[in-house]
Amino acid sequence: MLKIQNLTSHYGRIQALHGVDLEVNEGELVALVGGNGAGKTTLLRTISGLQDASGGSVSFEGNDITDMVANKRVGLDIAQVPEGRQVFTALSVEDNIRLGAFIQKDKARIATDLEKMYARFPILKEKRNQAAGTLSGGQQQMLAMARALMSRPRLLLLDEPSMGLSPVLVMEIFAIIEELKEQGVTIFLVEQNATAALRVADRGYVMETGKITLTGSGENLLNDETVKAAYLGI
Amino acid sequence: MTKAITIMKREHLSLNTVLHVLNQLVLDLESGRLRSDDVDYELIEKIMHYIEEFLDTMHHPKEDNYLFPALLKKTSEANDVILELQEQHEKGVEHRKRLEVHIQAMKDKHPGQTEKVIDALKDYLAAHRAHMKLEDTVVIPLAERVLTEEDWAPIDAAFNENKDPVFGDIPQNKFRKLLSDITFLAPSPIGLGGGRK
Repeated sequence: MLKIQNLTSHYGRIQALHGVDLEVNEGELVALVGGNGAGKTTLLRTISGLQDASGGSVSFEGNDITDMVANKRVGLDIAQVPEGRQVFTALSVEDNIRLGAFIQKDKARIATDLEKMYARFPILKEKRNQAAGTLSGGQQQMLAMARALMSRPRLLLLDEPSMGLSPVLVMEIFAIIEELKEQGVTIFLVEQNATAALRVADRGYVMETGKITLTGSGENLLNDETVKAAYLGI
Repeated sequence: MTKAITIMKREHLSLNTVLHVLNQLVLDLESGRLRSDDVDYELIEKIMHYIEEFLDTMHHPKEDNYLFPALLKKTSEANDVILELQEQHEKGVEHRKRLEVHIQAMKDKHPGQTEKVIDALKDYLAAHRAHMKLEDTVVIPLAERVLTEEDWAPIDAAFNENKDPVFGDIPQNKFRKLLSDITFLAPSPIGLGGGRK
């Protein structure tokens, strides 16, 4: 579904991605793990079109989208939940959720999807008239996920969804990710919480200094001595 | 690491996560951030229900029926620690009953119950943590040392039947739903703050 070949990207003269090759097949949950500054977020931003590629290619369902602008990629059913949630703090919770369906013109479908989001994330229904900026981190993460799901994505890009959350909220986030996978959403998950990410992932990639250094099934990577030592602290 | 040990450690992690929510309630009650009138009994009941039911139906039967007999058969070194675990288990039942009595009394607004609930919660938390610590630091290393691949096969198979409440493959299981309810009810920032205001 998503194929990345020899992808490079720069911030000015600084090269952040060094020839990344990566693939996400339909229905898969693929995790990308690595430390701070490894280039994980840059890779995600390049996939969603928020960061320019300086070389290589990104293709989605066989079509080259390397140079396609970000908002057009939403039309391809790709949605991203950004690092740090990035909700619109001054807008209400409901308006934030509705923004996720900004390309959708069918009002009945938007209303149905909104109800589905409230059923899945009841806390958002309780807070629907509140400004999003008043929500806690966990509530904002649920909001960011609901907003992304409003576009009914076939490929969901998740950037550090568990960052800064309490243990029980981390469990909840990963349970939701698993549910989405069971519903057929293809997921590319970028996480520093390597244990949790690789446990739910079909396959995983390890990234260091802008390069993919290791790949394999989630289970194999969890049992890999290098991964254990570098990322799992065991 | 064998499959059974991986699952045991994962289950301990899940339990610790839920105990963490309970611990926060203790801290809030103790500091006065949470008044006894505002205690969310539904949340406490769900946490205790999760812990007790999960241990009784998923965790302990596999240890009692597979891991511990294999260890006892293999080495006399296991005698003392398994006896200690059994004693802890019995004490744990007492802690739970005492906690339930004081919670009911606090619910019924009997005076002086807040301190008793705090103490009973602390004992309940400490008992579960001590039990898991003994398994993690003594039982599991001992099992890794003395059990052979052949010994592990039936133990792995038994533990493998356990469905992890979060990372398992039965999405509708009751533990998953309970955890989701606990997350919803627990006050922010630990949970989503959807419980009693």
